[in-house]
Amino acid sequence: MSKQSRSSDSDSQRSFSKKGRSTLLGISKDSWIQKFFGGNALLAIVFLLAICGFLIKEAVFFFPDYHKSLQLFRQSGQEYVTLLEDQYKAQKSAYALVDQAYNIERANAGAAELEKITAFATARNKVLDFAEEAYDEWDDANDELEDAQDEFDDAEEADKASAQATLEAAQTLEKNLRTAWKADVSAAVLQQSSLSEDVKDALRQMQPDQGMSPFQMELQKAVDAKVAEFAISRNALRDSVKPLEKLWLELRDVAAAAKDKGVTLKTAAERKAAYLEAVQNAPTPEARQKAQEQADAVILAAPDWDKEVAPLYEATPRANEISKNLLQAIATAKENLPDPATLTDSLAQERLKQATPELVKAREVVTARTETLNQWRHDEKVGFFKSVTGFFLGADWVTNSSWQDFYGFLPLFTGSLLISIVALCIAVPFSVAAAIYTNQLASKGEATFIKPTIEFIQAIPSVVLGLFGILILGESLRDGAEFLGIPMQERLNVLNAGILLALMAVPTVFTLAEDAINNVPSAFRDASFALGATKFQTVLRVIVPTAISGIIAAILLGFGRVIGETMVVLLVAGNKISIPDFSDGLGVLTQPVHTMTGLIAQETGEVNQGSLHWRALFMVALVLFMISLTVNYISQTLIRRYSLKG
Amino acid sequence: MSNPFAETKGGAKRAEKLGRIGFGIATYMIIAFAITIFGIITYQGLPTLFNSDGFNSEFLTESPQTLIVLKEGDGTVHKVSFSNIEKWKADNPEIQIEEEKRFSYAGGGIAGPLIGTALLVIICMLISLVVGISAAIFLSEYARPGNFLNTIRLAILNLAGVPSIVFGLFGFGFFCLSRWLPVLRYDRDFTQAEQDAVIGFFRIPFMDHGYVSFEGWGTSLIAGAITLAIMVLPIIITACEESLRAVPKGFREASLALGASKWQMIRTAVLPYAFSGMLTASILGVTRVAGETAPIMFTAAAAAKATLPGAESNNGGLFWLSDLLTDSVQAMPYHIYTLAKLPESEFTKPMQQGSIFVFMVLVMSLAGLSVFLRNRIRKSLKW
Amino acid sequence: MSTQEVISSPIITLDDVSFSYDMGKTNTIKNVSFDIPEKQVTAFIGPSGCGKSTLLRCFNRMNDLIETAKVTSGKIEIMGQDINAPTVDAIELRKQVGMVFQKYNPFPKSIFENVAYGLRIQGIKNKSDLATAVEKSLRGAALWDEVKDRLNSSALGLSGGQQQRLCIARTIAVQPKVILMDEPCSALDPIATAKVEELINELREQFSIVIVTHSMQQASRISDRTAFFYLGELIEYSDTTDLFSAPKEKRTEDYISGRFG
Repeated sequence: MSKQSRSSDSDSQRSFSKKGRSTLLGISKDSWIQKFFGGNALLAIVFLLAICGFLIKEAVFFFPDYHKSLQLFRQSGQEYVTLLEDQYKAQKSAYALVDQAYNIERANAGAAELEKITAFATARNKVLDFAEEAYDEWDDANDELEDAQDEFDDAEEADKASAQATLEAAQTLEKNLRTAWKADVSAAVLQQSSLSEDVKDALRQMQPDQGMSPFQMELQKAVDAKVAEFAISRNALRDSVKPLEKLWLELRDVAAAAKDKGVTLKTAAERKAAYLEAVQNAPTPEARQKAQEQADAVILAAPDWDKEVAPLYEATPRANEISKNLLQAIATAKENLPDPATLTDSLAQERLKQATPELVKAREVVTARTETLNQWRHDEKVGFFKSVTGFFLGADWVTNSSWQDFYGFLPLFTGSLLISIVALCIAVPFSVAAAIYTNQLASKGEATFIKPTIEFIQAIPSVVLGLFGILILGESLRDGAEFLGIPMQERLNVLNAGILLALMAVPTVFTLAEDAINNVPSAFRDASFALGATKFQTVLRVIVPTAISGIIAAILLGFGRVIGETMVVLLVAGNKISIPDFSDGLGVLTQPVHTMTGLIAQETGEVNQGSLHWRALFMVALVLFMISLTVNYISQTLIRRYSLKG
Repeated sequence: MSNPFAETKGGAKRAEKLGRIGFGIATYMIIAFAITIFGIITYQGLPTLFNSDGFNSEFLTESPQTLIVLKEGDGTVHKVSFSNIEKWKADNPEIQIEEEKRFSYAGGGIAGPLIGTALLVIICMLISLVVGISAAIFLSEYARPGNFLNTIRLAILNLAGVPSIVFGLFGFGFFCLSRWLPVLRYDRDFTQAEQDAVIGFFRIPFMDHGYVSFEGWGTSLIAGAITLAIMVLPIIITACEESLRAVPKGFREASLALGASKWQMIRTAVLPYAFSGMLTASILGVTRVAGETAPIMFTAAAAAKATLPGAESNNGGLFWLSDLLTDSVQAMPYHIYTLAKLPESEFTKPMQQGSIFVFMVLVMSLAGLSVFLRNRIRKSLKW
Repeated sequence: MSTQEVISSPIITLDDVSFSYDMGKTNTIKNVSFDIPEKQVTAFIGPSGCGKSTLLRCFNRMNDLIETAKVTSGKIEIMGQDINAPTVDAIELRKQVGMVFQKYNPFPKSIFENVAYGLRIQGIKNKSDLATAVEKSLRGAALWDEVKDRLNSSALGLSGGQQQRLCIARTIAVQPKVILMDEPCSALDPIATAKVEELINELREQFSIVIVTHSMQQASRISDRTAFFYLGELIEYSDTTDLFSAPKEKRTEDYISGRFG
C-alpha cells in the first residue's frame, strides 16, 4: 500500500471521529444529557416504588400488632366479659320490645280507666288549688297534732295529764279543720260539672293526707288486670335482665383493670430506662431519690394473669345460674305472651311481632355464649389468622375506646362499594348514551360543543362539589323525597354522595367510551349502511358490540375514579361507621355510611405514628391501592385488546 | 311512476327517531345538570364579591378570620371582621350593642388560601415538569424497548389511577413525620463557638448563625408540593410520552440521516412537534393539582394562619426561603373543606358560597386555557 | 366525448351529473351522462383520482355521510326514480342498491350473523327463514361448502378471499337490484381474485353489477360494458370488447396501452 493511500485512509477515519464534540470530565455533552434524563426517569420510578414500599412497610405490621391486641383482649378476660355483654344486649333488646308492646297495650286496653285516673288527678289538683287556704290551715293543725302526740309520748308520768289535754285539743282542731276542708272540697267539686259522678264521689271521699286515693288504686288494678297475662312474660324478662347487668358491670371493672396492667407493661421497660436516666442526671439528691422511687415503682414483670382473671372463673357458676334464669324467662315469656292478634293496639301488635324473633335470637345467643363461656380459657392462644379475618370480615370499626379497639374493614368497604355502585348506576347509562350520541348520532357542530363541555366537568374540584352537596343538594333531595313520600332522615347519605360522584365519573366514562366507539373501524359502519341499516341499527348492532370491551374498560376506570374519591364522600356521605341495613330495600340509599377514603382523611390527622390505629389506616390505604391497581390493570388490558383489534 | 325507494313506515324508522331523541336527552341532561350546578354556585357566590360599596375588595385581599356579628336593640345587624372590630367600635361609639356573636372563618377574605394554593401549584409543577418531562424523554427516546420498559410503562400508567388520599397518606408518613429530612435554620444566638462544637450528624453549621438540622419537615409547603408532584408525575409522564411517540418516526430518521446527534435530533425534530401535547398535559396537571384536597390536608395545609406565606420570617435569602418552604400554608381547597365543616349559619354562608365560586372559576379557567391552547397549537402544527 | 348508444333497458341513468366534496367549489365529477344496463356487469376504469369510486358511492348515496358532499347538478335515476329526490329514503335505496367494499369488512360477528345482518335489520326474526336465506346467499356466493361446518365461528377467522366473498354473500342476502363493487379484488391474491371474478360471472344473471377496478385485464375479463373516466369526466363508454380492441379516444388508447395511469 502506498504512503499516499494510507494517509487518505487516516483522513477519512478522522472525519468520522467525534472530534468536534465538546466533552466534560471525558464524557460528551450528549451523554450528559442522556444521563440527566435517565436520572430523572430513575428518580420518578424510585418515588413511585417508594410509595408501594412505604405503604406495605407501614401496613404489614398491622396484623401482628392487631394479633397482640386481640391476645391481650383474651388474656385480660375482656373477651369473657363480652360474652356476658352479648347475652345482656340480646336479652335486653328482646325485653325492650316486649316492654314497649306491654306499655302500649296497657295504655290502650285500659284507656277508659286511665282516662278517668287522669281526669281525677287533674280535677284533684284544681280542687286542691281552690281549697288551698283551708288545706294550709289543716296542715298547720296537723303539724301541731303531731307535735302534741310526740310531746304526749315523751311526757313524764307527771305531765301526762296536761299533755293529754293538749293532744285532745289538737285532735279536735285537726278534725274540725279537716271537716272544714272537706266542705271546701265539696263546694269546689260542684263547680267541676263535667265530671262523672263516680269521680265526683271519689273527690268528695278523698282525705287531705292521702297519697293515692282508693279510687285511683281501684282503677289501676282494673287496668293491670286487663294485661295481667301479658305482665307475666314482661316481668319475667325484666327480672331476668337485672342480675345479669349487675354481674356484667362488676366483671367489666375486673377485666378493664387487668387490661390496663397489660397495656402499661408494654411501655414499662422504656419508662424504667427513662427514670433511671433521670437518676443519673438528677441535680439534687432529693430529685435523685424521687426518680429512683419512680423507677422502682415501674413493674417490669408481666401481670399474673391467672390471678387477674380468677374472679371471672369464680363468677362462672353465677353466670350459669343467670343464663339458666334467662332461658327460663324466655321460655316463660314464650308460653305466656299473648297472641299478637288479640292485642287491641296495632303498634303493640307490631312490636310484639318484632319481639318474637328477638326472643329466639336471645335464646340462641344466651345458649351459645354460655357454652363458650364455660369453655373459655384466658391462656388459650389466639390464632394468627384471627387478626386477618378480624380485619377483613370484622363488622366494627371502634377506635379510641376505653374498652377495646376493633378494626373491622367491612363497614368501610360496603360503604365505599355501595356509593360507587350507586354512582355508576347513575353515571354509566348517561355517559355511554352521551358517548354514542356524540360520536354517532349528533351533527358535527353538536359534537364540538358536547365533547369539551362534558370534559370540562372534570375540572370542577371535588371539594367544591362536596360543599355543594352540603349546602344545596342535600336539602333538595330531602324536599324531593318528601314530595314523593319517602322518609329521608339524613341530609348527608349514600344517594347524595352517589349523585355527586356520578357527575365526577361522567367525564371519565364518557371520554373513554367515546374513544372506544371512535376506534371502531369505519369500514364496519360503511358495510352496515350499505346494507340499508339505519344509523341507530348500526350503532346497536355493530358499533356497540365491537366497542364493548372498550366501554367496559371505561366503566371500570370510572369505578376506580369513584371509589378513590375522597372529599365528596368525606363531606357528604354522612360518616357513620356501620354496615348499611340492606333489609330496607332502596331505603338503604337514604342511610349515612362511611368510606375507606373518607376514614383515612378523617382519622389520619389524629393518630400516633406507628400505633395500631396508624397501621390500620395504612392497611385500609393498601387495600384501596390494590383495588385501584387491579381495576386499572384490567381496564388497560381491555383497552389494549380492542385497540389491537381496531 | 311509483317510487321504489319511498320511505316505509317501519319500526326501524320509529326506533331511529326515538333512539336519537332518547340518547340526545341523556346527553343534554348531563350538560344541563353540570350547568345547573355551575349556575347555582355562580348565582349564590357572586354576591359575596360585592357589597353595598360595590366591589368587595376585602374578600380578595384579606385572609380568613372570625366574623363578629353585632346586634343592636332594634334588631339592626352589623357584620365586622375581627381585625377591624377596634376601629369599627371607635368609629361608631354611638351604637349600642345588645348582643355580640362570633363566627369562625366567616369574616375577612381568601387572600391567604389563594396565595398558598398558587405557591403549592408553582413548586409542585416545577418539580413534576422537570422530572416528568425528562423521564418521558428518556423512556420514549433513550430507553431500550423491550418487556422491561413496557412493564415500567404499565406500572406508571396504573399509578395514575391511584386515589389521591393514598398519596396524601404516603406524603404525611414519608415527608412530614420522617426524622431524617434536612431543614436550614437561622438562629442569631447560634455562635461560632457553638458552631464548632456541634459539628455532627444532627446539626451541620451553615454560613453565619445558620445550621442544617435533620428535624423533618413537618406539615409544610415543601412536603405538600412534593406529595402533589408525585401524584401528578404518572399523569405527566404518560401524557408527555404519548405526545412524543405521536411524532412520526420519519422525522427522527430524517434528522439522524442529516447527521444530527441524538440530542440534536430530539431538540430539533421531536420536541417542537410534541410541544403542544406536553403543554396541554402540564396545564391539565395544574388543574388537577390546584383542585386536590386529599394530598395536602395532612402534608401542607393549615386551617388558620395569622400572616401570609413568608411574611412571618424576618430572615433573609436562603434562610427566608427555607422558613417559607418548611412552614404550613393555607390553601383554597382545604379552606373550603374547613368552611364545609362549620355549623350551618346564615353568617358563614356568604364566605362558603363566595369561596367555592372563586375557586371553581379559577380552576375551570385553567382547564379552559388548556383546551384553548391545545386547539390553537393543533391548528398551527399539522403533519 | 363519444356519442352514446341507446341502451334498451337501463337500470341506472345518469343525466349531466356533477358532484362536489366541498359544497360545490370544485367538482370531482363533471357533467357525466350515460346509462347502465340491467343484469349486466359494467366496469368503471381510469387512473387514481378520476372519480370512478366517488361516482359509485353516489349510486347508493354513501356520500351522504360526508356533510359537505353533494350532487351539484344533473340527475341520477335508478329504476326510473331520481335518487336525490326528497321523497327518496337513502336507507330504502341502500336496501335495493348493495355495495361491496375495496377492503373486505365483515363484522366481528359469526359467519351466520354477518349474512343474516341485513335481514335482521329489516325485522326478520324467524330462525328458519333466516337459516334458509343465509344458506341460499352463501351458496350464491360459492362459499357454502367452505363454511357450512363453522357458521358460528368468527368471520374474522376466514381467509381474505373468503371474507370478501362473505361480504358479497352478505350483500346478496338482502336481494338488491344493483350491486356496486368498489375494487373488490384489490386486497386479494390472484387465486382469491379468480374466485371472486368467477362469482361475479355467476351473479350477473340475477343482479345488475357496477364494478370499479384498477385492473384493465379484470375489466376485460368480467364486464359487458366499460366506462373510462379521466379527471372526473367520462371519456369513453362502450361494449368492453369494443373499448379495449378499438378505442375511439386517444386518451383511452393511451391509458389501456399503459402510457399513463
